[in-house]
Amino acid sequence: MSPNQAAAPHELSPPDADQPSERAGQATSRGIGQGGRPRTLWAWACLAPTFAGLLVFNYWPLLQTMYLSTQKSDLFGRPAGFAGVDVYAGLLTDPAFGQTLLITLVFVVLSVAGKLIVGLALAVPLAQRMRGTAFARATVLIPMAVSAAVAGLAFRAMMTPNTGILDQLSLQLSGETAGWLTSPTVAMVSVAMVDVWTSIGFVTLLFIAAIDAVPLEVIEASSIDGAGWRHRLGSVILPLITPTLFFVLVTQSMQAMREFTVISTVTGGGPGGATTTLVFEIYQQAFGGTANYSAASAMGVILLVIIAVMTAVQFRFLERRVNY
Amino acid sequence: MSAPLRRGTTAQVVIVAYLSVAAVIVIFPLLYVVFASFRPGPAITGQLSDLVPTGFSLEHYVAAFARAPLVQQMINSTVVTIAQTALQVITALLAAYALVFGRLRRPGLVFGLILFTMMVPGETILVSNFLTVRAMGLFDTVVAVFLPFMVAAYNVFLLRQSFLSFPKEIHEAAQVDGVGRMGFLWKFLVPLSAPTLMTVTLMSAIAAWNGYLWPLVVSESPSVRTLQVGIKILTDETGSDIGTPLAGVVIAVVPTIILVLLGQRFLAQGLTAGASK
Repeated sequence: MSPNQAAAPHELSPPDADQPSERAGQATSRGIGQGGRPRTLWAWACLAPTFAGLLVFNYWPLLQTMYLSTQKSDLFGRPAGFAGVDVYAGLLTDPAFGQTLLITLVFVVLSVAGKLIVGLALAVPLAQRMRGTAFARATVLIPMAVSAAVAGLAFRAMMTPNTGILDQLSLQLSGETAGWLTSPTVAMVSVAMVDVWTSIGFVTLLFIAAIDAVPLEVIEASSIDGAGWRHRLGSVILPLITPTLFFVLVTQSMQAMREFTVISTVTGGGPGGATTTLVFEIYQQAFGGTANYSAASAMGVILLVIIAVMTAVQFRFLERRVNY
Repeated sequence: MSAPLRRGTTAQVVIVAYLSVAAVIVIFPLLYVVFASFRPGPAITGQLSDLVPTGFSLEHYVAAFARAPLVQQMINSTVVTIAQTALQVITALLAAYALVFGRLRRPGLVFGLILFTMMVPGETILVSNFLTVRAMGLFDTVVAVFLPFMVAAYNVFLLRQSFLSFPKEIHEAAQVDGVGRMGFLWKFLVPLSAPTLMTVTLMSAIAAWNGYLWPLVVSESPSVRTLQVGIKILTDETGSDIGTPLAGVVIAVVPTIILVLLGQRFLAQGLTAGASK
């Protein structure tokens, strides 16, 4: 019934091997392949809407972004003369931009570390399918249904100075307000925390699926050997779900790199720019009062490069797994 | 599936208690907002009573609907969700069909050109897409909110994966029997890959409903905004009054909660597809 089962025979083959066998025959007769040309016309017609969309809203903008990043920008964002790599050079030597990259890095590290730790802390016991945990299992998945904007505004209310429950909590526990939204250091923790919350259903689901896939015999064998739960977790379960841990690490790093909504709704990049990450800065440059499209485009290209490196790592890794 | 814990009931009680408390903490922000939105008077007070429902009043909802065109924004979000999902599913169905059964000479290359766009962050091409949409005269229209998302490479990826499992002979046989090209897609592939299609549809719909940055950039008038952007603006405009935007928050979250609860099974399959290849 499930697509995963239905697709099973192909799932283990590398991408190039999963083409139908007849295609291999076609490839050998490539010399006379021209005769088959009209037969593919309908296929190109089917691909036309996809490529029309990609052309206008992906390929072209990518080229235009690169072009804009080499142009000066006037007050209205119009290109105002060739600047070469000046925009990039200006950015990369600007301490303020260095600060933005640093803030982005801190946010990504806090957010991803939080997701791995909280996700495992929820998934390991949930995967036991113990009686009485149905409520917990259904509940921890609910954040998947909640948009980042909704979560951000909900947490912002909880973090409101004086009246928010989290602010009150810190006041009661430590005698002083934590400054969830007003202290530069704490605000960074606040946005990372909200980002963890928005992804926790998804991450937990992935971990549960991975732990479920660990063969029962392996776990039982380690039980018979007298391994305690701590040993079983550290030496048996975690090593066996390394692929999923890595997948979550890479995809969630990319997601955190690109997070805008949480920062916009919780802190608005503040206080004093303390939570202004790269993506938030792109938005600010282009639409936050100024129309500095050239700087925004150059930052976009820098973002692209960072994401491309992350994706390359992910694909290399996936490939290796698929080939097993 | 997994190892049942064969241990003393004490351990079991501890784990169940731990999980229940953890679940309540996870879900607490939503409960807090729901309680606050129905609370008479100030929505949040900083008292411990904020943790539980106290009284029932619709005043914050009345204020929210009076303050912003929430009904219109709900309609906008619905239109965007339906149009964007339909476009993404139809383009992906056609593209995946062509990729798997189209006998293209370089299907891998064509697929690569599509898949490549997954690597380009929307934030990178944000400015450029904004300029394109503005040049098209679509700025501050509902169409501008969904049109740039008409193609989703991940949907092509999932549907292609599903189609690859069909024996190619069925396609040949259907052609011989006089089933048209499109007939094969609608009458055979679509019904047979219904679970994947369901996953793709649900994921597209939730992403469309929850969109934020692009709708924020491309809309200006309150009557064009989607609900996600609308409730943020409501927060900015109402300042220290928290009850009004929180009522908006509850209104915005209900549809996706329903979608996710109904489609849990399909979502779980789609979301884990990339990880458990």
